Amino acid sequence: MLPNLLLAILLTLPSFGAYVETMHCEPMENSGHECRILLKGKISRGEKLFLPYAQDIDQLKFESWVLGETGYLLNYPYAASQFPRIYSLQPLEGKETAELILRTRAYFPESKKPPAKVKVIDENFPLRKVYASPLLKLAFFLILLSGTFALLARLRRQTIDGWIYPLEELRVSVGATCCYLLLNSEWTHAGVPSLWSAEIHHFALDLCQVVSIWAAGSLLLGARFFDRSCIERVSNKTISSIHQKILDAGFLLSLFLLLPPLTDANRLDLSFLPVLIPATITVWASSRTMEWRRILKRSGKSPLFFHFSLLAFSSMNGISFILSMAIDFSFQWAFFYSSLLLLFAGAWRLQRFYAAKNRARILSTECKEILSKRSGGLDRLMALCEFLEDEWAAARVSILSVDQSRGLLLASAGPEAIANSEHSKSRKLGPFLKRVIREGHLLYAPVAEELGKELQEQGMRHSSLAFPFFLDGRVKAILCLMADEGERIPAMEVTIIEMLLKDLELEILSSVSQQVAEEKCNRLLALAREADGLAVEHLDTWGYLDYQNQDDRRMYLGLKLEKNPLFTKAPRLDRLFKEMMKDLSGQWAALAQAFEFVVKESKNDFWAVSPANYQSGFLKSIGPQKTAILFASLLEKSTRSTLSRPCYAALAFPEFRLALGYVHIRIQLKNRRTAIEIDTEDQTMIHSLREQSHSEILWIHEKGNPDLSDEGFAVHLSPFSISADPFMINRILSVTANRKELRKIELKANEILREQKRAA
Amino acid sequence: MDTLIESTRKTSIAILGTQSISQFPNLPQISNPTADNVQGIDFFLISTGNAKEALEKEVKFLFEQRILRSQIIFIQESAEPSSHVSERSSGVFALTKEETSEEIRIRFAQFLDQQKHRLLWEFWESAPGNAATGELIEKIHFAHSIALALNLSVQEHWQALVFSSRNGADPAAVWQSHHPLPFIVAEMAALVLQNLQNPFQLREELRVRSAHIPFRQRTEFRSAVEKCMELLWKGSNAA
Repeated sequence: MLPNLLLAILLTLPSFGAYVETMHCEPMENSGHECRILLKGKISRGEKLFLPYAQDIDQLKFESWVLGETGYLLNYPYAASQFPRIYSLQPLEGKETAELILRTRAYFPESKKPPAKVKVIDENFPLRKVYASPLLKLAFFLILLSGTFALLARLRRQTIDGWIYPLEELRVSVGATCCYLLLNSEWTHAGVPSLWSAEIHHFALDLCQVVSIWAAGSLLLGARFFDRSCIERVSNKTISSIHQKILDAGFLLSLFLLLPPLTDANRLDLSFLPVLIPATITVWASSRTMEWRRILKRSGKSPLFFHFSLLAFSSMNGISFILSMAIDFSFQWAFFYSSLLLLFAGAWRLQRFYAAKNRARILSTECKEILSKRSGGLDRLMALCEFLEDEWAAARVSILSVDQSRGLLLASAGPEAIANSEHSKSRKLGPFLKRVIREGHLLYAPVAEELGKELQEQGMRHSSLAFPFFLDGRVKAILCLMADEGERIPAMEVTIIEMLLKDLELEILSSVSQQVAEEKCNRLLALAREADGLAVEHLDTWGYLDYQNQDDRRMYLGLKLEKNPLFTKAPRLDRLFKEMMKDLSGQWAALAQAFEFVVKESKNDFWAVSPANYQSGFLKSIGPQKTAILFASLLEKSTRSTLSRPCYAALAFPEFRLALGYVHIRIQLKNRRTAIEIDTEDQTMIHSLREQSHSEILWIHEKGNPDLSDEGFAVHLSPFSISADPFMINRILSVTANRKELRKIELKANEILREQKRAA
Repeated sequence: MDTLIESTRKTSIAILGTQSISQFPNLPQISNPTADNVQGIDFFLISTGNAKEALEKEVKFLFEQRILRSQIIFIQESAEPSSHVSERSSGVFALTKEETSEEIRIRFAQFLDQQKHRLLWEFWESAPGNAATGELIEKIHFAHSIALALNLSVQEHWQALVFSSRNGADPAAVWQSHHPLPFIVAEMAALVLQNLQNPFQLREELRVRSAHIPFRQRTEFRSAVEKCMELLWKGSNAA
């Protein structure tokens, strides 16, 4: 872009050399000049007179002929310095010499060069040298105009880049500066003098300057660098309110001094002084309170550049004003260029911020699309964590559900993600997250050292950030992002993440609520299953009891250990027996869960019922009867193994009783409420059968060989007795089944047992 | 499981009776039981397929040889149950034709493991525990667990239970190598009862009392006691 800009500037420079010198240019009234131009040599056809330094109004005459004039529209004068000046010399064609008179007038003489040079050009003179400069000025004007609207529109909200400025003062500063630059442009002079006078134009220009200086000073006094640090910093340095009061007083005084008839050619310059002095002092006052070391480390480049340009604007204007009073130095020139710098810096800052916002918006759209394809709460949270981890190559991204000072980790993704087994319980929040809740906004440490000693001692060594999500005014969830060890999270990336998370706030909160509700429902169902598993099986989608099946048959299994009556007299043996029962109860419950059986009663008398439907494909394929037999076989094996352990030898292998058979499930009225229970007669039959077991498995079933034949499944039976028709009782001696599936079930039971012990 | 199978190899078992039991091909068979050929055998397998009179004759002969009821195991081969062998202290082991020898061996090993405790059951049947104090009951049970840990023979195990049911000898007396093992087991059970809450004191007492016992045996005694008392000392976490 720079080369093009340089080329454009070069093209606009009028060609030097071969100028016809003018004769005298004498000043006239009303900022005018009368110049005599002597044309030497014969004037050829097609030659024209080019005025590179056009004034607002001019008239070219030869003797009494008016060769041309500019600056009038329908007899109304206007400042026309922005238009190129070419006057045709055709009426003077053939003349050897000619003396022309050029009368000019400038409404803004201080910003115009005197009409010192003219050039005679022919038809071959490149017109770009004539039109380039005005077109460039027009382009600059239009860019400035559109930029003003764009800037003012975008400055309605605070930019999230760590710097906070008072919003009103920022808009006033940018607006006043833009107005000054626009009013300074030749294109805005066109309304002079027909629409408004030059004095009014000047007044407006000076007003913009004063307002701009005052607003820049107020911005500096109100500026704050808010880096959302995780370290609590208590700054002792504050800006005294006296600075703002002095600035405001100076501003009012300057405005007063600007009012006509006080405005005077001599006094005009002094009108800036009351506002310039306090504005320059604000540079010192505001810089004094800033922690520059931290700012230089943590601030982004564009907002830092903007702040520096603000400091330069306030200080340069003060210095240049003093210089202009002492030496021949143009205060307006310094003001003009410092305003341009300020505007450019502000535009760059906004452009970077909006680029980040745009990126956040694109990422948000992508993420929402991914989340919409997932239905479960956990699924959606994991998808979100993986998305963020992938986008920023984070070491870990986690989401916690928060309730006051406790939190439950819901999902975690990344190479250093927290394993599922470690986030099954809620925990007290650590100091970093407690601070996040207290502050109520994002906290982050761009480098690990910024975490502070306290947090590093807690084990936090990664650059991290945490973002809270609010519902009903309380923090409901927190998202934590941890960079790789040694990596730094840049400030602009934090801005993007913050905007992205704000955009996804609704989706995240709903996913968190969904996951919490689903998890709570599962745990309540598990609890309910322990209390009354049969009722839980018959709950419909909405949690209502729905019993449809009138002929519901299930396998019912009971196991207990017979305590030696002598133990009542022997307290140590009694204690040992209780320890063994505790051990066994855990194993039986774990096996029941692995076989998906519903435990009806426990506490030393174990009863379980087969479920209505099996989740496991293997158990579903072999059916309820074989499943129950397999379950009984593993129960027996596990019980025998425990009873045979040397530490329980003193108990001398207490006899166990184990029986199973089919029972009917019926809906009954129990304690004034509807319950789903086992048929009483069936239940009594199995209970009494169990009393006949002596450390063996007894199975009651209908007469006739039960169909137990299956590939990979074999049961060895021994007749026990023939009870009343249509039943018979067998001892189950041994069971052979698919080893791989059996091993899976055993492993599952062991895992359940380990979790129970860990929870206990 | 392997430990149980190993225990069947160590345990002395014989098949008694006219009808051989084909599922136990490696076990010695005694067709004509005499006072000599039944001594030193831990368990006797008798088929219930025998005629009732022949069965009763064999059992009576064994009782005359002072064989304990708990040493007799009835093998039930037929499909029909045998009600006359349903007493608890007479063990019944059921066989089916569908089972392989390996499967039977595994089940039998488990069954034998349980049989060892039947000595204690038979003891309580012969000397009812209603009159026994809590301390005596515990001493007998601890003696039983130590005897199992030391893998005593059936006869020695029974004697250990009998010794433990009596009052102990001089509590400070040092054991000698000529003292019968069942006696020492009973004494160990008494020591355990006295020092149940203090394992260090128990170890010290064991060391002092077994000073004249060969080192290897002393180590076995200590290991047996600790194995049995593991849970009572450490609680259920040790399990």
